[in-house]
Amino acid sequence: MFAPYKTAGAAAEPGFVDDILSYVRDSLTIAKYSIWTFSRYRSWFLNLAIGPFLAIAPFVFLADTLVGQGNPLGGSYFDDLGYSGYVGFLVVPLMAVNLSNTVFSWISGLIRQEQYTGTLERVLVTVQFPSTLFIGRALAHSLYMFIFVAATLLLVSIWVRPDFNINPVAGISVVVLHLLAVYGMAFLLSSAFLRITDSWAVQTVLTRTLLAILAGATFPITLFPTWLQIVARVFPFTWIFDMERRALLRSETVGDMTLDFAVVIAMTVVMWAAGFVLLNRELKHTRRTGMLGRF
Amino acid sequence: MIAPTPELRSGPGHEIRSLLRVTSNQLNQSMRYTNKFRLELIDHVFIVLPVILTAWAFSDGRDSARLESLTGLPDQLTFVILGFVAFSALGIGNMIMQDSHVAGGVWYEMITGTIERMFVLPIRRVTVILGIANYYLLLFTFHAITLFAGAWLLFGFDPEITMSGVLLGTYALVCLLALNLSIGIMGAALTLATKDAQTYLLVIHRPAAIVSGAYFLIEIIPQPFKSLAYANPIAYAVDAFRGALTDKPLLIDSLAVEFAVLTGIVIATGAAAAAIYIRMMRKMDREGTIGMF
Repeated sequence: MFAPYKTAGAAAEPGFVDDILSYVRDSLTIAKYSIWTFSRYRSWFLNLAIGPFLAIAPFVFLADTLVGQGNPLGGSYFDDLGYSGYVGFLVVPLMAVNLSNTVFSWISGLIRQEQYTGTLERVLVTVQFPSTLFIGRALAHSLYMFIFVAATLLLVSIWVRPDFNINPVAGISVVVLHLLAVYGMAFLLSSAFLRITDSWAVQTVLTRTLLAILAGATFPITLFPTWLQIVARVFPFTWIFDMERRALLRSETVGDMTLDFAVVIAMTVVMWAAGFVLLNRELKHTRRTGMLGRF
Repeated sequence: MIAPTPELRSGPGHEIRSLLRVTSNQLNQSMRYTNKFRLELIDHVFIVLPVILTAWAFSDGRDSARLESLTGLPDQLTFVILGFVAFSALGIGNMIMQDSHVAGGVWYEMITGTIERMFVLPIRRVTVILGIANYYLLLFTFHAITLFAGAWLLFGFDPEITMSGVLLGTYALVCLLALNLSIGIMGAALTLATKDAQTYLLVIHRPAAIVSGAYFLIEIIPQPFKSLAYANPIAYAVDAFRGALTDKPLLIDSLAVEFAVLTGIVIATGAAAAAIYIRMMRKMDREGTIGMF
């Protein structure tokens, strides 16, 4: 007769604290693994360090051509905005756009990379909590991000000299909020992309269209018809670019932007919550339908 | 009995058939990823839109007094669109550059492990690369033509259409596509040799874009970018195309001299691409690294 399945003396079910420790451990493992994976591609690091500047500078040169160095911003679209110089007006959101794009390519792009190399299934069945795949990836990215920001700031200071007028508390608060929002959106998109075979192309359209066109990174959204301005306001980055300009160019305080902060915090919470819900749903779907390994 | 390895056949008919077969294979691969394929067809619009909107906001409309004082061309929209049409023909105006170019096509074959398979087919390796390039040449020609036609029909942009302008513009477009091909072959060879698709972006795409003068004036940008721009062959190609259709070349006063320079650039770039390609292939054969990834 077979012995009954052992219950007495078995290890206790993991509690809440054990789960948290496992979550942290999984996230750190994924972060370490991500750094190793990308350190294989030596030019990637250099590309992302100088890439943002190479994307920012042509817009400043366009403004140099149409406005002229040292000339103030003018015209009907800038009248009520209160910005005098165009360099800061362009550089602040374009830095944010490029850094956001590195987040999207780093986090959402991982699905594609892992699919190509056939390791997505392996990673997802290894970790206890699938969402650590994204959290760990975000942790690894945040380490690199400081270097990208420093490199971009150094290069723009040398060649295009933005006219910063910074409120440090508001500036740091907006940047932290921006990162939380951009990681939240990357998480949400990554979850959605479990179902889409060429997710990277979709992510490129979504992020670049939203960031570079709809959010008004390089022009005031007053250029749009009223209905499109309302649509643009649905996306957090439209608010964030505006807040970053106000904190870093006009030295506005957190108090001056209370409403903006409240709106963006609410949007960020919604994106993170939706990311967790969608990830569970999409994972169940891909496992049930056997789509996980297909791309 | 094991069949002998097929001989490498030769002759123009075989080469053309092989080339078209590889192109057709590349088209099939692109169409497999429906969203990416759709994006490849329209991404030039997504790239040019922020630039058009920015230029419109900064010049408070279509006319720019400052641009007119600097170039004699008042319409900033025409200036920007013509620059971007040239940019599109060069294949560096698209947002998914990493994937949508010869180097990207080769990179895809590498990571999916099929490049070695293609290289042992009884066709020349260069035919494989040219077949992939052919697909992208067709795609970028489509970009350039649709951007030009779309801007004309939708925005009424205003190039100077004369018989000589159209002929020179068409010649410049062919030169731009030839440059695209040479740059693509260089990119593919570099990608194969370095096993890193980012190298191509870093060495060719981004630097070429920043100092091309596609939508800004080279003479007013800071050093060292200004000197780099004057040494950048792509800048002359863009300027020759725009100069042909506005009759106002900006880098060289005479359009005839600029076209002679452009022709020389196309020949020199083609020779450089062939030299780099041969050197990289020999290096990989010597070191046995084609299959390594």
